[in-house]
Amino acid sequence: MASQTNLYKFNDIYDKTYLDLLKYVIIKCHNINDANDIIQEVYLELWNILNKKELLNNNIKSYLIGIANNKIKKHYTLLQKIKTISIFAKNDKDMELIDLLEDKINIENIVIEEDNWNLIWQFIKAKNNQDIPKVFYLYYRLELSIKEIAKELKVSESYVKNLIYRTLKELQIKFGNGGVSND
Amino acid sequence: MTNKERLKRAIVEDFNKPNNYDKIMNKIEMEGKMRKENNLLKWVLIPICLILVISGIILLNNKKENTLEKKKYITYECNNVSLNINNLDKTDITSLDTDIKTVSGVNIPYPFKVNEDGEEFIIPKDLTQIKNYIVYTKKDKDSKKYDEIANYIIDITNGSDRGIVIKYAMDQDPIRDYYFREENSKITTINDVDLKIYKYGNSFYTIFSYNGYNFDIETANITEDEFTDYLVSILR
Repeated sequence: MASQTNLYKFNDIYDKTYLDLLKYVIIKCHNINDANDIIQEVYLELWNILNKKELLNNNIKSYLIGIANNKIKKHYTLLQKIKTISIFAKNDKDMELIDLLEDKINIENIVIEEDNWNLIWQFIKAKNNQDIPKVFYLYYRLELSIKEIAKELKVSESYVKNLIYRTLKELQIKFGNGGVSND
Repeated sequence: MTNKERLKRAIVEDFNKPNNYDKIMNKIEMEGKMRKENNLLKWVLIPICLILVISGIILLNNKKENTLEKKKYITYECNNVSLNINNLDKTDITSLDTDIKTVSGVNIPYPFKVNEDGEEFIIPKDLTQIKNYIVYTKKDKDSKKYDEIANYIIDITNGSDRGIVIKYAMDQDPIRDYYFREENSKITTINDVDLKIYKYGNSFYTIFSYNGYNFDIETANITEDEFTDYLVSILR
């Protein structure tokens, strides 16, 4: 009976917190490919805690973020953390030049077969610079603005724009019609 | 559908909420099962381990006892006499340095009873050479004089590798140039005389008290039957 009550409570918390927690984990993790595993570990721990003690609902999101922080710390060894440090300078002044570039490349200009978008997402996720999939997640999934993304990732707006611009260009060359717009 | 929507759909599918939920539930189920199994194992393994440990201790003790028993003695039956022969191995025997002087060709007291036919004792026929000795020790260790009789020796041999050495003393044990533990030795009784009989290689050692003397008898290449006949003949 207690287990059933806990399950209702767990489902409720899961529904209400999943997206926010996923966003937090994606922003904080060193590799976006680990996000699903970390999310699962966090909710598994929540389940175990629910079965041990009473949790107050008012602070549940902060509580989960606390668990997520611990899980992220445990998930990565120091070596992995060093490996995943971006080789790109995030606040490089040269990045400001991107603001001056003509915004010819738009995701809608890329001609790609419909089935290939899963493949493209996997390609983005496999980038060495893990800021790229993070930016794409925040921009295309959560539809945050460049300004909001820059704030979340604690980087400059031009850096965010640059990542999007360069990656779209790369996608167009690799998966599209060789840079020729379909307009 | 726009490219933006297609990419969004791919991302949503990748971080699929229901999929993650199912995986979490599977993990919860697995953890529950493992916990149950661990609990079960704990409650099953603890008694099993205890039983194994106790059995091991018992078995080990039994084995030790069996080994000791096996090592201790064998029983040899001959002419209605049972000899309990205690086995000695190399580790049981320690050699001793003794400061003695042996004098041969002397008259010594005869320690056994002679029967009505004047027969002294039965020995294998090939043991024809008999020598007597007196073993002397020093009363004072610092003295150069060997002035105290320690024991007598009757040495009976075939002149080669077979023989019986009978050492005896009246008020003490005969001097030995070896030592072995006699505790827990199986006793043999012949004609109401208790003997401790040991075997090491091709030799028998016997320790007993009879007719007012303490005896050590040692043999070389004498069979069990010959040894039994000899013991029966002297312990009348």
